[in-house]
Amino acid sequence: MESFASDIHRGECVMCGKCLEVCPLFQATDNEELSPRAKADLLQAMAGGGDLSEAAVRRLAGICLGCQRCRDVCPQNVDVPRQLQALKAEHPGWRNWVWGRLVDNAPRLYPLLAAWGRRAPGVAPASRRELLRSLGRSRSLPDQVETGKAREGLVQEACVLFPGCAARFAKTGWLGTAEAVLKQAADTVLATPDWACCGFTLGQAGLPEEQHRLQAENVRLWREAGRPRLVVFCATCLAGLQAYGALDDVWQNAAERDAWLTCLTPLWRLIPEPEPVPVPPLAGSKMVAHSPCHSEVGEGQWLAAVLRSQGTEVLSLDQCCGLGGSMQLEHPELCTRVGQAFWDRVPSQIDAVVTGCAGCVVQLGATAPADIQVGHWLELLTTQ
Amino acid sequence: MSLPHPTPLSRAHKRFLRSLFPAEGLLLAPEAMHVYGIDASRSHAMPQAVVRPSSVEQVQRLLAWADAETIPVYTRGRATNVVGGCVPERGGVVVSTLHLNRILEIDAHDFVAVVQPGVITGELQKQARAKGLLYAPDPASAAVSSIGGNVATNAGGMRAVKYGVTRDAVLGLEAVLPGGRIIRTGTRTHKDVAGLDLTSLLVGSEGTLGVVTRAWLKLLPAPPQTASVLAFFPGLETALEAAQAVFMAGMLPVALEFLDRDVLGCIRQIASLPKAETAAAALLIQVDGVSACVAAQKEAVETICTQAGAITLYTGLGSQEEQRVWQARRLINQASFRIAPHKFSQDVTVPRGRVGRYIQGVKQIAAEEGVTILTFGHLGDGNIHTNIMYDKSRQSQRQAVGRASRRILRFVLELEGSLSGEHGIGRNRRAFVHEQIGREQQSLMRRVKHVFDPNAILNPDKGY
Repeated sequence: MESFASDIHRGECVMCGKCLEVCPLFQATDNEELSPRAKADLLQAMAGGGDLSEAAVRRLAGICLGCQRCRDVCPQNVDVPRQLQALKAEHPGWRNWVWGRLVDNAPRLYPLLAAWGRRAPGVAPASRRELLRSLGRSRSLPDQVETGKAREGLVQEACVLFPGCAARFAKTGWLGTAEAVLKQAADTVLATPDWACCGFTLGQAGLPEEQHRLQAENVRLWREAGRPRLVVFCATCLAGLQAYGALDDVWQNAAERDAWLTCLTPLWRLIPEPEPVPVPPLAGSKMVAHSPCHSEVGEGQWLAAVLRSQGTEVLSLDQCCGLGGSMQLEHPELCTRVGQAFWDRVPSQIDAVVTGCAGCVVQLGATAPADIQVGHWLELLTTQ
Repeated sequence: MSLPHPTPLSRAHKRFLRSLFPAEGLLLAPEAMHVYGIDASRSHAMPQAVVRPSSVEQVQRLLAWADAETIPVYTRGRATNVVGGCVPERGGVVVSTLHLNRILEIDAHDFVAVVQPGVITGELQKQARAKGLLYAPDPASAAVSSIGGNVATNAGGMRAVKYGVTRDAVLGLEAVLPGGRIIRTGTRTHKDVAGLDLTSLLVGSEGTLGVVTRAWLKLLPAPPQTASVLAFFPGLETALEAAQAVFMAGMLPVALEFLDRDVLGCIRQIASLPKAETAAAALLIQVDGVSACVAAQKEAVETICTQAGAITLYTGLGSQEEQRVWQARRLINQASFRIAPHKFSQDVTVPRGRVGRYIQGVKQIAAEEGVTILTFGHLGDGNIHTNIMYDKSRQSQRQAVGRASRRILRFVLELEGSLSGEHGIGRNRRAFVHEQIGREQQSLMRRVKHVFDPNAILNPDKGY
């Protein structure tokens, strides 16, 4: 017979531990206090009037990569990352503020920080310095893969790219390729407006007001452009834009909100399959096809299939890269451990890791062994 | 039961722990220790320290110190148990085994795996499978729970009907006892009758006798093929007859699961069960073996179910096809909340031939107490999950749950069953365990503990 303490009702963490299987931070450390279950336990204890120090709880519970994998497997639909965002939002620490400023000022800061990373070793902690260096590299992979010929007018409505901050201000080579690829798939491609950041990182850092400002700005730009199909090639940006669906006060009406959610399109879905070629351009190479934490179902399989069709031996991996948004500023050493756990899974003789998230490219580029290239799959595509 | 408030650790105690567990090996901050005070029972008590040994020597020195100082020690794996087995009610030191997490050997010639306690059961299953071997115990929490925790609770699972429970797969253990002594029970062989079976005594002892630091586990050849049959029946009796007929045809299924009328009712609220609208019971039967044998067994099961009066059958050969067949079983938890917002679960076991009587009796109790009670689970070994669904906000329902669960317990004992088939006794059921095992046996168990743990430092007040 069990006591009533084992009662279960929905929406509360029941300590089942399913999140332990997927949390990259817990898996890299085996430290249970860093697990989603531990954070849910602390939040519930605080709500119940426990005698824990609020500041101490906030400090510990805030150590979260924001990958949202725990939310996706929770049988009780508990969204720990979201609860942690709210916790941070109540008392944002200065580091979160700094990170918010960083993204907010991407046009000025990203190239600057990248240059700083190249020129000033010793200023930043080693892991962060590598991160900045990685951001400064515009391309790592050879462009050898020709996409197939698109059927004329594959996409009828007007399209516009949402490149994301990294592509606009640091990885500038991606945008041209993405535009060329999109033009093969769509009749009308509009000029890229001066988008704001998608806001994902600001939300994770617990800066909802700043996030909301960026979100409202992006919705306004999209509306002005005639509500075109919004094409995205960064998995995290896509997740950030999808989250706008939960907003109440940026839409003219419910139909506009639905139109936004319907028009968000990952670029990979529009790319025609490469046609078989007599000599596959990547023959003899070995690559990791990486599925980022925020990628849509199917992207990883698509990438693996494309790489295989070009003659590459492929290892599929959905391990977290360890970038961790604002956690990178607060706990770079833990991010490094998560990153190390990624590389522990990568066998030797791998030539490259190919992914579909700007953040993953930057983080993996910063932590990769010298003989492994890291890049976005866009870099592999030729634009002839 | 209210326990005396633990004496705080002294500065000397903390100094000792810091020297033995440097850096992140020791936690003393309340916010960091908080989660180590809870498990899936959702009871909580605050530990006074949490340690993470990465060597057996650290465990030995810890238990020598804790025994001398009479400080309670609570061993913890992934803490998925639902009966409060990990809750440190007397404060003391929680030992997380998660940094002892290496698979040391998977030997395809000896059919043995040697692992540390923090290894995740699902990971061992996966690595064994890659070598054509099967680690048979398969608790529902396998993807999340650790071997150490499975050993401590003698974890069961769906495959127990054919392959047994964790105890059947443990060949030997290395364990540290209070005082720091180390014992190595059993051998590396699949047969061993030398002396008393201390391996079996340690398995299921819920961390009350020693801290397991290494396990020698039995592996089997992995069956290359599996098949599953989901059969819907017009009533309970026909389903139970079909299950009995499967056994009498000379087949021992890997899994033989049962879903009652009320379970099917709540599944229908979230998923369609085509052609089974009138069904009042369902069986899920899985067989394994070499391909030709599996195909023949699948066909035989289908024939038996049809002859027993099955309304409709769904079948799958191979894991991909079987996914569809098992879908209904996986929906039970979420579907059950369509009946009421809260659940109170038990995992009683009754002799296989008395399952029918048990379920009918439970349904009668449910009707008399005005609550819905779902019965489903491991029919093959009589381990029937019994979930009372109710609304906590209504006092009359809370009282009804209390009455119903006491009546169920008495009924189980009347049927010569057990109040727990796989979840264990832990903290939550300890007040009732004597009703099953009797005072004499309970006293004997406590004297056995005294031999291992004279100062009662290991998971005190748990189990028996």
